[in-house]
Amino acid sequence: MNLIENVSRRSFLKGMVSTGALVLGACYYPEILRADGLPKDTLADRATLHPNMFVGIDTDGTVQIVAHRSEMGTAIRTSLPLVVADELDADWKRVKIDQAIGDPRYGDQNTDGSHSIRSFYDVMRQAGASARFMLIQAAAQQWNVRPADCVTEPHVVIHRPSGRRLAYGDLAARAAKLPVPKKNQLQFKSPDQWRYIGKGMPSYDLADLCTGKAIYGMDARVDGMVYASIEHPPVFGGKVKSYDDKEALKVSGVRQTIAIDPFKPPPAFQPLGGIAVIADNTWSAFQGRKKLKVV
Amino acid sequence: MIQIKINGVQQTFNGDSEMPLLWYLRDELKLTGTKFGCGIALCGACTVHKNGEAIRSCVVAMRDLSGAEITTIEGLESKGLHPVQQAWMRANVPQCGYCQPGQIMQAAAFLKNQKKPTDEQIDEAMSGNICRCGTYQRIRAAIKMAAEGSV
Repeated sequence: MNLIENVSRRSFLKGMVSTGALVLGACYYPEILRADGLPKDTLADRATLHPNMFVGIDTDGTVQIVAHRSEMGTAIRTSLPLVVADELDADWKRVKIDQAIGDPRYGDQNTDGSHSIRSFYDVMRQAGASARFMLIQAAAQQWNVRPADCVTEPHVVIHRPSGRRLAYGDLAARAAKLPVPKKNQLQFKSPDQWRYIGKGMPSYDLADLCTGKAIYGMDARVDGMVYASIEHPPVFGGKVKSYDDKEALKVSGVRQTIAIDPFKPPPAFQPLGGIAVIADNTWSAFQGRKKLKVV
Repeated sequence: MIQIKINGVQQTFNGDSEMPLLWYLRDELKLTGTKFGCGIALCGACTVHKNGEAIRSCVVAMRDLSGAEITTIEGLESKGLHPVQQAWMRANVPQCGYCQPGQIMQAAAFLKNQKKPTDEQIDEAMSGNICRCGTYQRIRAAIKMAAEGSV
């Protein structure tokens, strides 16, 4: 079961695409994603709402593709949008990847288990193919010709008999007014028509990765932020009986210590217990942690 | 008080002089391109240049850097990309990329003194920079590209 609906009149993607742009959202019921063989023991597997994938096309032709999975080094935030771009027949150079923040509308975004492609490949293809379908419909309407006589090349719809061409950006506003096709109306590319899938494309983030601009979890910086280092119990699930932080608090830059309760079983993704040393910088937190006396 | 130049900008450091350069770069100057890996100079993720030489910033204390000129991945090339970075892109070196700023800084310092390195020389120069994704073949290819000027 699946449902794709036109969300262009909603504020789902506030600020992501300009007014009048074509926005598609692909919403899927949980059962389609609960593929056989997936583990059922994580919060992700038990989630009732599953991720959405969005594609937006600006009137200037910029294609915005939301990456709703977390990047952890496999280039998943490149791979899934590439699938969308292929079925959309978008020019990859004009695609911008918009990394989704954590938001319930995307469902559980816990990116683990090596199943992002397996679980979302069809979803991505539908999201891209739906947009392409609507762009073709819009072009056919504008030319007053049959959609079946129209084909696409990257970022452009072509009326084959006459050779007329319309760019995706110029079609976005008209396409946004059309109904979203049902899955059985969609025409997917055959593998020999793929431009990106299976072609060994470089990561969208390649330049950032080579210039130190890529932001990893540890690189996140917010105003007024402090740094913590946590002394965990030496045994999994262990509990701190008592601790003495007098010496730790004397370390330059250390602000305070906080005891963290151990998790209540089952552990799942709950934090381990211990003592957190909070400081003005990582180094001070490390030094303070060494001075803790924990029993 | 320690005077230090970071990517061409004069800085004054007033904190704990035992603090390694890495944390000054990352936490105080917000230059997060230099990565924390092991903290004991065994992985190379924190490699920067001190007066043009590759060093492990996680074990070099601020007190030993008075008057030093430090270059990080952010300052390797002020305009566009350094030839090593161009080669890294052309060879599509990174996978996750976490170690690559350190790899690039190590390679850039190495190539300053070794214009036509052999495979053995590359392996020796780069042996202190670990890549968990295993991009070593591409790193070697990129270094050769940069050395040959074929980028």
